[in-house]
Amino acid sequence: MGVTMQSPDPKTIRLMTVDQNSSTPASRARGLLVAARTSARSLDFGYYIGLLIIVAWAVIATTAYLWVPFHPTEYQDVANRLAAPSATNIFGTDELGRDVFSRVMAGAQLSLPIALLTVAIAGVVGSVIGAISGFVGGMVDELIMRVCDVILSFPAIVLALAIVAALGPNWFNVVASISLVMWPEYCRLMRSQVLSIRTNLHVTAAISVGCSPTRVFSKHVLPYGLPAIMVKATVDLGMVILITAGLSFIGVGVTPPTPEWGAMVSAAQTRIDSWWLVVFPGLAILSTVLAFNFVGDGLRDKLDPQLRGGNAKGASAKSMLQRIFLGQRKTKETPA
Amino acid sequence: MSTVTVTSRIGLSSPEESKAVLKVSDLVVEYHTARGIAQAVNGVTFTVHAGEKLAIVGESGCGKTATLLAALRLLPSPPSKTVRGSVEVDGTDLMTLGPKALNEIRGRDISIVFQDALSAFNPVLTVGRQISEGVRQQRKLSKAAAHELAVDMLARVGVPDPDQRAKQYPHQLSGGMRQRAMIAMALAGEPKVLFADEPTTALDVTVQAQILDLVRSFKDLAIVWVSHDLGVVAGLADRVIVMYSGFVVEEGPVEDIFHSPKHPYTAALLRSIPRTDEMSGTHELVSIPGSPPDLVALPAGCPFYDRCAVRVDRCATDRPTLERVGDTQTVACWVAQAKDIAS
Repeated sequence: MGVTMQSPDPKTIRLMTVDQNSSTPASRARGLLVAARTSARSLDFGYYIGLLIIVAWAVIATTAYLWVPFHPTEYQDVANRLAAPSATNIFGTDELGRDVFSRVMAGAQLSLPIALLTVAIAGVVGSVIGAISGFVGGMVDELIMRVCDVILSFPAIVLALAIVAALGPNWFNVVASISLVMWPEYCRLMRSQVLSIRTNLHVTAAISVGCSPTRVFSKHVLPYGLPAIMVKATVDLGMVILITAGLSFIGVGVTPPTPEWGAMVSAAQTRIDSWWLVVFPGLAILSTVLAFNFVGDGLRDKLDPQLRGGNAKGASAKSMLQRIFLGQRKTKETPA
Repeated sequence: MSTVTVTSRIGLSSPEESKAVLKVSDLVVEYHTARGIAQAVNGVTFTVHAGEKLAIVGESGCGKTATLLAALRLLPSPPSKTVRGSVEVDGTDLMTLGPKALNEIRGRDISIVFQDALSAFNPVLTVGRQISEGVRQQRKLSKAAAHELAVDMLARVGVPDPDQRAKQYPHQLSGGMRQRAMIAMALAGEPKVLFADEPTTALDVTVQAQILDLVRSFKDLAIVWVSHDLGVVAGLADRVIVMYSGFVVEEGPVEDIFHSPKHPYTAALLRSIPRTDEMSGTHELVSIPGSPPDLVALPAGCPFYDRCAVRVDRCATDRPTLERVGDTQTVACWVAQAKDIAS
């Protein structure tokens, strides 16, 4: 086999040995199973890395002001402005001589909550309204969809800009305006999910044994839309940080000198040769978005009962938390 | 012989005239499609008595399943529309009930078992929870009581180790066990009438036989069993309804239908079963030539006209109605009816 040219890691070796024995269909099937498990485990790896990064950023966000070397806003050393990364300013300094490292760390305190809160509001409101729209149908559906159309017909940033401009620039208004612009997307997504789910046989079966519409909706329809919502939400976290940046850049978002990642990236656009101004806050955004993506992907698989080893603990909140933080990858089929 | 509907549960004098638990009359279902209105069910009428096993047979697309789903008001609307008809369960017409009353009667008085038990179960909830779900809500049971009920139901349908099984997810059960669990779910509310939509089609024959034994053991339960497997029907049903493109074409006791089919379609269906005792090597598999009529444009006359071997001129223009032919059967066929009068 030609694979031997690369440094063979244990996984490939195991796959190869199985491959060599794959003369019978049974052993070939076993080989596929091993491959599936291996890929599931590498997915798990990304999930834990993501979780680690998020926890790290959360810790930084809550404690940054206690340990950063310079005060993120009050320390200004204009003589040392636009200095490249050095031992004292490891991420360099900005145009006012402020320490970029301190500002990036402190920026987590604002960027993360804004992103999380916005996506949470838009996601929850959008999914609930969308689910109702799809499940109830008729005039209600029409009305909700037309409202969505109206909002979606504006470019998101322009509408958000108008709203913040009207309400006044502060971080809460940023959250409110971006959520308002974003919820129709979740609404549409959830509605389409619900429309396809509600014709599933298990929904009909639940109705046939006398479950009320509310119960059918909450237990048999709604949970099925959530994986798609979750994936969209993780992607949107990055989007929100960028939209916030855009708003800050125009001057209606987070007001300077408050440190915020998006605002820092935007401000750096005019100083292209001072690369550290854009790279470090950019990396902060990148790592956060990537981490949320990994976790979103992993969560979707972990909450899927066909991939996890289901047992008596079923869907209790405790076991759900166990699965989220510890994982549970044994899937055992117990035939009759 | 007229069918007597008795709504009270006691005071039945003759066992012959036992009470009708289900009366379906003149059920008409249409599907609104891009091509026009497809007439899927055309005036289906039948009565089921307590404990009786009724089979509805016919080929795919003849309206068997649509009849069941429409009777339970489970057909999605649009695209389907139940134009008229009544479905009386113990004297209550399902067609006129409000949503709340309908929820109460489903599962408690009448319920349904589907063909594909895997997709009929919600994969993210445990089997036990789904079995007791409807009943739990209707009777306001506690969680523990609901679990007990589910375990009890699983035991009754012959699932070994029911306590453990109730806590498992649908994909962890084997096909046969899943179908038993599905039956347990349908029977959890102690209904009087059970609809079964080809529940054994997806199973292999040994499991199929087990399920049939199980169903036969429910003596008091009225069952409407939809199938295209005439072998299953012969072993299970008391009475048979033969459907063709949404019409009931023949009805009668199972022995009479199998031994002396009156409708040419029934006769052709029976001929098309491969039989091991006649397989001497020369017999070819018999099939019915042609295909059923387009439901969007049903012919004015008999729907079976195009494929019929004994048709007469009248069949092309007049649609036959169900009339009694012989002592026990009713048939919608001019030829069979004429023969009956002549003899």
